[in-house]
Amino acid sequence: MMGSVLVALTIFYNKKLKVHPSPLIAYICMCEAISCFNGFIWAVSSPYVICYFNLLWIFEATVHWKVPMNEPHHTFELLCLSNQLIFQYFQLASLFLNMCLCVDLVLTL
Amino acid sequence: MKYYMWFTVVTCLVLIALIFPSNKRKDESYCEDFNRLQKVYTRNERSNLVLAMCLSAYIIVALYSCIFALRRLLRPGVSNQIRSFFLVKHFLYVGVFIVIWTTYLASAYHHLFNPDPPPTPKQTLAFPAYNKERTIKASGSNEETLPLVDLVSTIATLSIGVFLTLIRLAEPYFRFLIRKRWYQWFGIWLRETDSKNNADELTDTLATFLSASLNVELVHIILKGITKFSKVPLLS
Repeated sequence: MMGSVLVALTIFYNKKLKVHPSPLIAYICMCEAISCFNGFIWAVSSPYVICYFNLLWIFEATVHWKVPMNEPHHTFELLCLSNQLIFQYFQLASLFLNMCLCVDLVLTL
Repeated sequence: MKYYMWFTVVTCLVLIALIFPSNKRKDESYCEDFNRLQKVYTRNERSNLVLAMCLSAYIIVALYSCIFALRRLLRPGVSNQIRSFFLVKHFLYVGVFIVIWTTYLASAYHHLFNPDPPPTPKQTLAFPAYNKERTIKASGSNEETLPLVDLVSTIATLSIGVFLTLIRLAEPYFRFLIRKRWYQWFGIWLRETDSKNNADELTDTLATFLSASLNVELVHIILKGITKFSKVPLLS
């Protein structure tokens, strides 16, 4: 995560590195970092992380809609599912950006 | 760049929408058991299928781009140093990604086509003794552990950032920037002009040097074309 963020920040904060296709690599790094974070939560055990940080309570306190307090497992499931979906989304995004990088190389050369 | 971003965002949303319905859990009885719940929230059959197809497509496109870049840059006009730097960087990038993602692909295929998978909770309830034996056989012990292929793919996925950083460090200008930052911590101001004499260090990105080289090649082709066609004798 730290490595990917380092690469992305170096590209975003340096004028010379902002030349195309470096921003594409920076976005790939960001996607990798986010998916890695979610993968890390999954590896630790997402239900355990939810309980440890009391994310159920934070979630219920911050959403607009009314969460049924007598059925906490729905919120629990939603958080687990969102972790999995974010992980899969950014993994696919990283893969597709990589594909774009290769296609861009072919088009540029 | 904009098109790439939109293409990626929209395609991934569509794919996630395809995966999403099969991600919903049907069995409500496992809410209190962390290990079982964790197991339920691993990749399912549809997401494995989508991932396997996308990865296969990526591998084909990536290998094609490598061969194309090799053939294109081996033509005269591009400086040897830039050519080798660029090709090494691209090959490393594609190679590492393919290797890491292949472990993921292996894991997806393992889940899709495993001939003797661990029993589902319903099967375990139906035939407890027989299916307990299958669980032990599949995992190798009484405890529910990740299969080796899953373990390798998880470690590979989590370590991708390290490899990305190392490959990025293969670019001379990026290496120079890191060195510059490091020296700044000790109060030494490293300038780009100081490293100009060093042949291994470039003071700009590879993409800039490559585009300059390609411009030179373009001028070379134009001039060659003019000289060739100006020598054709007039028919009249």
